[in-house]
Amino acid sequence: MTTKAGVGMSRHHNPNVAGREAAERALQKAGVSKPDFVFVFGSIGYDQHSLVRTVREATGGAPLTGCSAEGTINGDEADESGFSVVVTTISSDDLQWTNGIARGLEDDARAVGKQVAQDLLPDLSADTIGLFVFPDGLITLTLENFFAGLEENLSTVQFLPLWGGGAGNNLDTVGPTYQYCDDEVVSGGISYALLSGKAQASWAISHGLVPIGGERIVTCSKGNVIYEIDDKPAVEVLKEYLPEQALTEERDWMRYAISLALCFRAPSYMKDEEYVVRGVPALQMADGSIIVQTEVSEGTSLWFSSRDKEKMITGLDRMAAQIKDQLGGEKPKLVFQFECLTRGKTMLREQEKLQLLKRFRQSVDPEAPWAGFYTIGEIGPVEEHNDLHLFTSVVLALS
Amino acid sequence: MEWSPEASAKREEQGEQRLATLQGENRRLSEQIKRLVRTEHELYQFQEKLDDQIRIYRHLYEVGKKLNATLDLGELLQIAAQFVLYQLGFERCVVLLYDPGTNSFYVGAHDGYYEETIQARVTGLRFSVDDPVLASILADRERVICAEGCDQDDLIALGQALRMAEYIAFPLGSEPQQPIGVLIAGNSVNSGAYHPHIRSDSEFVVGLANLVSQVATAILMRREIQAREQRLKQQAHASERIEQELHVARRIQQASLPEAVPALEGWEIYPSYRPAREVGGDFYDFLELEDARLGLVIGDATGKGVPAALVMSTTCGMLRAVTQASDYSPGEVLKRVNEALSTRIPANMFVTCFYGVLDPGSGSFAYANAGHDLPYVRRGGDTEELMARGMPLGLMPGMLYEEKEIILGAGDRALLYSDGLVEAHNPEGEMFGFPRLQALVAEHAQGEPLVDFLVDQLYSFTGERWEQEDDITLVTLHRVAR
Repeated sequence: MTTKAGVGMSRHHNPNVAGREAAERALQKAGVSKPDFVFVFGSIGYDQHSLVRTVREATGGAPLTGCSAEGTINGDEADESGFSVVVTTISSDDLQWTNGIARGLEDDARAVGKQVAQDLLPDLSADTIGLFVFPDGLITLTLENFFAGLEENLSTVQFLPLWGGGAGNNLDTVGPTYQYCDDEVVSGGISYALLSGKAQASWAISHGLVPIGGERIVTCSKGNVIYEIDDKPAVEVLKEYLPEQALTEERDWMRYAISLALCFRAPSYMKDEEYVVRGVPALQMADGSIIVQTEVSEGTSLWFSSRDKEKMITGLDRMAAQIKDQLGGEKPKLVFQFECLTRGKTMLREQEKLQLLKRFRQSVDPEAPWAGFYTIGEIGPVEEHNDLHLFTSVVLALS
Repeated sequence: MEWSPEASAKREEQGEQRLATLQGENRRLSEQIKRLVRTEHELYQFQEKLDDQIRIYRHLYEVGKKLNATLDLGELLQIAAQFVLYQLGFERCVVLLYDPGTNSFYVGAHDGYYEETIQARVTGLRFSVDDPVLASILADRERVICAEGCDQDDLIALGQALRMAEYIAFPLGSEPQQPIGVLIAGNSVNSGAYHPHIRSDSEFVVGLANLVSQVATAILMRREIQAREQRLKQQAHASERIEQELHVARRIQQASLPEAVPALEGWEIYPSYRPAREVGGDFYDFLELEDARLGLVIGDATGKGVPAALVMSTTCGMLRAVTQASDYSPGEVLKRVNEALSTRIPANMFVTCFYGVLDPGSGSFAYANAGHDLPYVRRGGDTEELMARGMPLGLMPGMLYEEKEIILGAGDRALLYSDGLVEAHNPEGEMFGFPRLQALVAEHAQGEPLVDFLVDQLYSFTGERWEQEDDITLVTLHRVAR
């Protein structure tokens, strides 16, 4: 028996109907009645517990991993309305799955990484292919610590690639996001699924930002807080790139956080990109500081950056070529696409977005089952370094 | 160039000037980039709104097509509710429809996510027109908004009934105070950031108003079509009833006509009766009298259908009764029948009737005429009218009828006919007419029966597609030449 995978989508507003519809469509496309494993990416508008329960019922209680999403992707279709769910059903003699969930990411991400490593240890083997991770997208500030905690505690010499994306909630910084594991639906945690067996993973990553203006220097910082840039309060420097009255209140920043980010010089192992992107998830008007999704030391060079359609398109073209190259002529059995929410409706017109997705899919494999979602933070390895990316697309093809 | 302090100082000065120029240019470029970035932020936000509006209007167009394609009220309302949920993004939609029978509004359709027990409660809701919860909505011709913080008790109460914490309600239809329904789009208290918040200046209000207008038009159109269909059904029913009446009328009429033609030695009698599709009042009869005489009757009751058939049948019966009661002359017979008929016939109805008595032996043909078309007699090469004065039967009592007599010789033919023959029209609208009939009677050669000849001529005149307007009755009386 070979690997059979199917992806189904529903836009019904009732979670009990949507979950069943999407699961049934996925099963039908896979040509199986009971899958070995299920991925679910569900929009935040649904009652999440009802949604997951319905999918579990429709898939015969198969192990399930997934998260809430800013929007969902099913092949050439994408939906960012707040009401869509994409279910992936997989049945295979060649693949083995181990799934789980961990809480407390915000409190001690390193400890969570350690816990996940310990949970996975019994299942790690030479056949291990990689780990899917879906953390709370609002807690990505600490995700580097999670990676560290995980990798420190894996007693394997083999590099364990991580792929995934941050769970979303339509940019509601106050409300929760949700991570799914079987019947469990939690917030502030991370759901994961370890993939082992006979399959090849091919993946590629690119961001869609270009630097604007000249180099700026961090002149005062501590941890992941930048107080001053070029000896000026960081918020004041940020304001130079924003419309007047844009930052009357701190919460106004979220409207602009999706289109203005910081670029740092990319580490040497990152061959495809000149810059690595880090977002500014929050700012503090009181002391004029900004919070960055990485630790920044004083004297670091940075560039303000903005989304660029051309960069996005050329990036996707490069990704398609890289994946095809890695596939070496094999046809992918399943493709996952973790796409930053900033690359969706907040930047592109609906038809433009769909055309772009279609063009990319055509380049990789128009027939492969294709599932994904719009993320807050994307996770994918670059040259054996698991990284949190922003404003990027992470695409993984399993063959 | 040789080094000198002056030259060096000059080069340094030029270098500083170039640097200052480049720095100025850099500042200007930097400012321009920032301006572009600032504009880009606004552009993205504007683009998202615009894209949303285009999407809504595209779907409104599709909704319009769907609404026009169905007459099913349930489907129509479902299309509207789906648009409210899936294109405008509301959590719930309820459409109340007015029921004139109970003077109340009931839930015609509702959609959105409800728990099952709540769904059943919402489905069964019914509000009397006087219910205070509808007061504000029925008083407003455009829309009513119950947004967060609303303090109007009636609006809050309606929201609670519909399980909506915030909503916008649009009366359906253009009649103030009398909407055909109300479309309500809203969200529950837990809807959070996943549905549009209700505000009067929200982008969706225009889209919703557009939808409401389309739905109201579709409902009214549907009602109009249904009313038309109902009218057509009633008309079809009425036509069926009339058809049945006509069938009855035809049976009455045919029962009144003689079953056989009397056989008289030396005489040939040919009757021809061609009823129109719609029953008329033509009749003819042969009455066997004393002394082997024969009474010949031809007549036409005014009008059509059952009334004409009944009048005609009554007249036939009276004629038979009067002729059998005594040996009255033709004028006396018509006079008596007129007396009897005048009191029984409905106003504005009357009967034209020619009555003649033939003595087969002598060829004497005595006759009287109550306003009927004058029969023709052809003798030799001439045609003459059998003229006798008299008012139609049933118009008024006390009438007298002139009597005449003619002797029909060997070879003579008399033609009795009804107005359906002379009043037939050809496709050009020309009438067959008396002169044509008289001429045809005159030119008719021996051999073919006169009745068949005249019918052939009539069909040639009217053409193949002729729809017979009235009954056509012909009776010929031919004294056979020895």
